[in-house]
Amino acid sequence: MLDAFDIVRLVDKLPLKICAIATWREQFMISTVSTKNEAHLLVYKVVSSSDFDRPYEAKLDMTLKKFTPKPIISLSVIPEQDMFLALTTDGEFHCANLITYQIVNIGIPRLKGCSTFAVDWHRLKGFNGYLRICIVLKKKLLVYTYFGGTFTQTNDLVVLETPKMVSWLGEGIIFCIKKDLYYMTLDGSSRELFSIGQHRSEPCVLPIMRGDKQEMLVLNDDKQISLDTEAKPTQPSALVWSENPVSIIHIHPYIIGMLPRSIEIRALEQKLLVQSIKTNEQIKDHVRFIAHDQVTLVASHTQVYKLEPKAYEKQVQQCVLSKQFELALEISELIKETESERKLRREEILRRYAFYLFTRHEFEKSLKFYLEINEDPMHVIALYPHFLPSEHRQNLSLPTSPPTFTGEDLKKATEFLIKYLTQLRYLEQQNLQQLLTRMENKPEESPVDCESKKKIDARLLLIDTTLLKCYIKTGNNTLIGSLVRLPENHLHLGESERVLRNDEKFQELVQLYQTKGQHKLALTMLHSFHGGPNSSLSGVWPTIDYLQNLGSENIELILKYSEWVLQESPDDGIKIFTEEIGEVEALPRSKVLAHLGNIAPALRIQYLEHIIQRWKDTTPEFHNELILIYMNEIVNNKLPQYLKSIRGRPRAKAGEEPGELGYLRSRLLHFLQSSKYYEPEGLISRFPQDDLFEEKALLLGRLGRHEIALALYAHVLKDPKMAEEYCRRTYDPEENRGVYLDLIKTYLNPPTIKDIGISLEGIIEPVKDINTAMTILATYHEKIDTAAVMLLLPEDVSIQDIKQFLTTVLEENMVVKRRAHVLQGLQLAEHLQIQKSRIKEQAPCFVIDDFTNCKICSKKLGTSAFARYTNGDLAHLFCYQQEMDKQIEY
Amino acid sequence: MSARRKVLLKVIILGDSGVGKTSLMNQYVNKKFTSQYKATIGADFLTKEVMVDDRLVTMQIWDTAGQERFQSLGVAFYRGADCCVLVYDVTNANTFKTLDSWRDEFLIQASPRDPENFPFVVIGNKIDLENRQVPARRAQNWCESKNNIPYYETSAKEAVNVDQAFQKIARDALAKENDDIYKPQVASVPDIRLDSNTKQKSGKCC
Repeated sequence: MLDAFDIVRLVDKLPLKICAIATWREQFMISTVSTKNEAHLLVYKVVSSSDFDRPYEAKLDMTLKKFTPKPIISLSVIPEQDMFLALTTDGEFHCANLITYQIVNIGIPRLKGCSTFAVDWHRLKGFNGYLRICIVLKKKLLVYTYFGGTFTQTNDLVVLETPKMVSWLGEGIIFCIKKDLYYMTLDGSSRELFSIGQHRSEPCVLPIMRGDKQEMLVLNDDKQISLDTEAKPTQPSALVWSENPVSIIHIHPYIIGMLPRSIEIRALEQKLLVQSIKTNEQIKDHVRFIAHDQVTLVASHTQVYKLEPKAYEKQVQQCVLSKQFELALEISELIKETESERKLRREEILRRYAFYLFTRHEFEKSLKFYLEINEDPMHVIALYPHFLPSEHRQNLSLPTSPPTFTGEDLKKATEFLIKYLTQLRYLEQQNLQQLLTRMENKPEESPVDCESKKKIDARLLLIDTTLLKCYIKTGNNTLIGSLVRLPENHLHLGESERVLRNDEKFQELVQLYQTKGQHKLALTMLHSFHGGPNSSLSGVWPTIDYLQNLGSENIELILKYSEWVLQESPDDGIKIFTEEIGEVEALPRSKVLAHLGNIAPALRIQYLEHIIQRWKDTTPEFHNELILIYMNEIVNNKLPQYLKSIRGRPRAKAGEEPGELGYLRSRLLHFLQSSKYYEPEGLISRFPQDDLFEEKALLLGRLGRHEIALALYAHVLKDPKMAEEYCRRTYDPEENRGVYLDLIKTYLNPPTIKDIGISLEGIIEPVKDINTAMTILATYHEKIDTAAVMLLLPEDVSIQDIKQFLTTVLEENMVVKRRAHVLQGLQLAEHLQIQKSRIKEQAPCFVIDDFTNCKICSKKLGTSAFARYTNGDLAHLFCYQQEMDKQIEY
Repeated sequence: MSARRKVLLKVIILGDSGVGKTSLMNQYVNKKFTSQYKATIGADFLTKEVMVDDRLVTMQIWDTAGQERFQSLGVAFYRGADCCVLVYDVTNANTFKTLDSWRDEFLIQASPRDPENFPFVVIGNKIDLENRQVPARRAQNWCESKNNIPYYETSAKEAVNVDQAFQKIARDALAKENDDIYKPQVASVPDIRLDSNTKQKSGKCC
């Protein structure tokens, strides 16, 4: 129970009997009945007094004797229109002026037999609003609307019997016939609502504003029901008074009921009994009337009291102490203070409320309030038993010790904490973002900004780390992963590491290390888990995936931790360096190559082939290296094995040997032909002198030393077909015309073995081979310089041998010559034709005289330079050129 | 037949800026494509009514801005989503790499009841372009590793596979709705409607 109101006596022991009371502003009027049954009207003003026990007193302002001939039973003041209305016991309705206190006639005729009336007064903003009165005249409801200083009757509604009571509700009227309430709209349609109750003789209704909505409170016995402006109940449950109220008034946030033996004060929204003033005990009086405007008055037949609200601050304090937080919030709105003070007060109430709700296990609502007042998350998290270290928890000043809870309650509470933290996380991230943007735009770092950034960072650290613990507590495995993977998470490394380890969330721990840049820890862990049972961390692939995403800035780590993978599973391990991912492609290749050379030399071919073929690497060193690796592999391993296996039988063609050797050689040969980036100068000396002649020929060819290359084919390999094939490949009419001549030369004047630069046991010095030379000459004569060949031919060649060649060459030369003749004739004819037409065009004569005008500017041509069009038109040369320029522009 | 109430499915499209989220939505709802790029600000939605197994459902497709990851849209926006569509651009490997973050961030913000089985759909867009960077196999592997997320490759420009992808989205979202027995029936349905084509039809269902 609170102490919301004091009761102060204003008028004491009036010799006359009060029969009606009304109040406006700080004034009130009482109507009394004299011994002669006439109505006297007394007007008072409420003023504060210095008396501590009676802070207010009423000063009698005016006494109007014999105001009406009969006693007044109902009074109503409309201060904005300086008007008051009175109904007397004989059923006469009076309008009076509030300044002159004279009864005036303003449009309402003298009505006899009225039983009651109701005023509908809309105070609209910046405008006087409108005023309507409904007067009950026997079985009629007469509606008068006030406009321009007078009342006009606007409705005349008929009802079955004379209503006891009327009241306005929205665009309709509530009235009571016998014990039943009805609602009638102004068009006359009505419906029955409900009964006023068995134990109630008089109806009791009260129009109120709840927020910005008009409502009507209606009593059914001791139950109070709220109706909206269409007379429909608005709340599921009714307020129940402790006795049947005679009358009620509304003083936000309270509703005050005048009960037979007491005045009861209740919170309207919470329906809670706040205070009960036992009238018969406390003031020893029987109150009968209650009125409310700026002041609230209750009156008995001889006394008037003021209901004085206690200071709102005190009320709020009391509410908080008795844990009536909702009411405290409502009352705190009424305190006159600055917005910031109000905000602080509200926060303080909410803080206590939230804690109270938490102790009652209403977690959702509690956390909602904590979020609203932006409570330090440390305090909120401290309400839970296990998220903060206990010594730290004890250091925080909590209102009282936090509740203990377990099992389902704890789980539920944790779920709501997750929601709270998620929301808070979002808000703090936004704050951080805004702060960072602000800091970026400032030229200098301000200490305030740095301080607030520190604070936000600390909060986010706490939020994320606690969120992780919540996820673990509630077994939310998917979200654990999501949180640790977030690139911008604010998890505390040590603490998160501890909880993840305790819960054996090793995969998530690796991911945490990854987002926190602790790659060494992550990779060491992956290594230690790789041999474990079949889990997400076993095997080489977790490490491979990890290394593939590290990027070139971590190359040393990649190299270090790829070592065991390459040794354990080279075929998978090479993927660390060859996966089609941007990061992998960007790794420094020479380092990788050197590393592979140390750890797994066999993988170098695969790596080089990948970077050259897939990633189109053109670095000469890599191309050279690949050639040398192929070569070494062939010479040191595969070739000796092969030679051993054939035991002196003839060798297969290069690249067609069985097994690996053939494969390697064909790749090497193909690469030597297709790659444009290797450097043959350095390579050639590394090749053996007694084998791999095919490869050597290609290298020599690349060096432009075609004679030696061809000599290798012709004399060492004794394969004229390959030599011809070589010529076909390398012949180019512009760049390399002499290659066929070189081929002939090698047959006619063979070089020595020494010239060729090989050393092979049992090789015979090359010998002249005129026949082959002649065949080549005959086949490729058109690509060979005839004159040069003639010089080469040895003197002992018989004419018979070269007859065929010479005839063909002569025939072909004749064809060329004749063609040239024909072409010459045709071109001469064309030349003559053109000359002829030129002469024709130059022949015409024309006269330019004083009357010859320019076609373009229409001025005289005179002696200026001119242009003549093919149709004979003439123009200034200048005009003509301008015209041409214009056309070009278009 | 109590389940015959009108169903509204909230679908959220996420992904880096410029991957074609707006284009996909426009292609699906309006059958239109423009090659002009205009950044989305905040979030915007279109609705479309579709039939899923004889049921008429309204898809409310939320298109989001890709620039600022989760800065302007609150936690409330993500709660109540029935399906989350993750979009990347097959010609831009970075947009694929960030899918992880988009998914993780979504899950944390939305905190769905069953995050393991929350319906996602991944769309690799712009397959009409030539300079593809992300192999389909890599995307499929990723989807498989995330509890078998359905994967579609589309071209919003040439309307390839767009309808199929959204049909799957509607189906999965509806399945999730039906599972969510706790879900309040009207929560998360905003009052505002941006386009007039989606007025509730008054026609009676047989």
